[in-house]
Amino acid sequence: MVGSLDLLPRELVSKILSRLPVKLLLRCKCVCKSWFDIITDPHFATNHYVVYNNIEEVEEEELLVIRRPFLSGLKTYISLLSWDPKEPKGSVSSEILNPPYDYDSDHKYWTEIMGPCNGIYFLEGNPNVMMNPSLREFKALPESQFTTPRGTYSFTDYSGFGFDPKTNDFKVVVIKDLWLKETDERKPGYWTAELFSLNSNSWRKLEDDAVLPLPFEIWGSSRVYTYVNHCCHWWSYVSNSVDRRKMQSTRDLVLAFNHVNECFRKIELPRIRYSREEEFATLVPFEGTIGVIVYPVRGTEKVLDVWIMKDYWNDESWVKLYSVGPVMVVYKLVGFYGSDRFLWKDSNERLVMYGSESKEMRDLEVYGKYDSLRAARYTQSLVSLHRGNEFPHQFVSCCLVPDPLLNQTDTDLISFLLHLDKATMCVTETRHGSQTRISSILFLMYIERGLFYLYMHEKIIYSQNAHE
Amino acid sequence: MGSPLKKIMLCSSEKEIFSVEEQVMVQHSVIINNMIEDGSYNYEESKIPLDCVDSKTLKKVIDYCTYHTHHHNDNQEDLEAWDAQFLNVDSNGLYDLLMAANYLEIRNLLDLIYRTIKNMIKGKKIDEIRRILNIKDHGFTPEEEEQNRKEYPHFY
Repeated sequence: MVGSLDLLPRELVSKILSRLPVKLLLRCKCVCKSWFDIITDPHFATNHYVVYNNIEEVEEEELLVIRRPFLSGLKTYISLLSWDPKEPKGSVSSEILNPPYDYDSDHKYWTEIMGPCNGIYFLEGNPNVMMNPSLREFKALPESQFTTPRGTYSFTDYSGFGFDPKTNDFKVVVIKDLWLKETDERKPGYWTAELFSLNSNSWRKLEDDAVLPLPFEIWGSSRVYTYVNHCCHWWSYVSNSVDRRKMQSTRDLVLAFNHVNECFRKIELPRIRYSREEEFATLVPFEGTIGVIVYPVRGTEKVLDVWIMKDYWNDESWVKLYSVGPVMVVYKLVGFYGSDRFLWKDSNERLVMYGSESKEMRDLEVYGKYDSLRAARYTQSLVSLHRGNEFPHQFVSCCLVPDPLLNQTDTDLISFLLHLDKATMCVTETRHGSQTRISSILFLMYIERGLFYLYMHEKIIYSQNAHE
Repeated sequence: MGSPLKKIMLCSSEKEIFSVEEQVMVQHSVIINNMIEDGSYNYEESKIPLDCVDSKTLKKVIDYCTYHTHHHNDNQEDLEAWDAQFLNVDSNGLYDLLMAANYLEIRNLLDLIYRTIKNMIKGKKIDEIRRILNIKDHGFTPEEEEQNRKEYPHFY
């Protein structure tokens, strides 16, 4: 007879606790001292992340989304969306993750979200941030002190985020393109690379000549976090032709950076698309290896081809695994997870999730202006960013507040809009045959970079059918 | 794998002998499956000693394995209802089952117990969790306990 839970062996208690969600564990810390010791042990945190996210049945699907809503100025919103996967018509609930006060302004912005990596997310922007939303940890990274070589400047940062289990360190590698100041010309091979380590809380330079597998160029925006086998990846290409005006003559490839041995690697691909003008290609993670999703640029009905590299260590192992569609209104792919979950935005910059196996399409009810919408799967994690070497003010907890743009009563929505002082509201009565409908319509107008935007939100207040 | 007709003997901590279809235990318990496979079990004379499992618990474990062997084609709802009824025990009974399932490595029973514990404490206040799980001594110093209550008043 065991009689009491206190008498169970620690190993068994640890097994029980690894099956519990983070929210419950944070509470369980206070239940008894032995639980506290287990839950605050970093080894348990790592183990819990693996066990909980692989074994436990998903009760809720969750996404972390960054975007600049039509309503607000330049501010980037970080929202946490969740819904019940078993209810195809169920609602999507949304919370906003408020950054700490110092970072909650129009002057701070984020353009990419990368993760999860052990439950930690990286926000690329100003400033760069690592965060664990489950623990409300938010850490702005210090700025790199390195300057570009004399006579050059850098235009774009291409970041990669990962974890080195050998040193228990989260790292960010940044590749910067270099341009000649004098002529504003880009010479192939002008790159520099820097690496941030959380353990040391500082940046160091990677010896560029020694490690960068030149030549290569990196394609720009809309990246899906592709972290596989401790490597982050960039969708890249090399120019075949010396004549740089002949844009057709490029060859796609994948650039990988291994966060453990800090080496770059070039991964070759077969010809998987005819031209970059006609087809988008997005690099994605796929069950322990990498894949590329190819789909047409034009049209409203699109077929998506999923290519994968069957053996991650063999460049010859690329195959086309399956095709999806035609499906309506894929504008641009912003995410992919599992083996069949596509996240894209439609032509209205609205986020849509599509499960190709279940053929289920779900409108996630979030919008982002100007290509600002990015999404990553959210996984709960106890893994902490604390390393003991930071100043206390670097960590400020953030809190979740209900998203005012979703699931709110009319009054909340109106007061939110009026608060922004950019909105007008009217009430209309419409008749469709025998049906009478009274709705409130909110109009919001603003001008950004010379373009005029109109945002409209209709909410039905009253609806009656004359025959009833 | 053993033949379905063969029986094996299990011996509880009270030295009570239970005779069970070999197939039932082999299918569910990793430990017993290993014993049979590596030939360390002698059908004529071996009795598998389970010194840390009492008769009452062993009987329940055997019930679980037998039911799941013979009803694995039943629909999910019926099985879940049976499982819920099966685990309708007090916390002492639950710990004994947990220890036994862990010792014998019966994975689906372990999963079931983990899920049950999770559901027992989900959404509960700390004091309730302590009561439900029969935790008599939380092990915090009075100062630590006071601190926790101050810091997380909504948990209590």
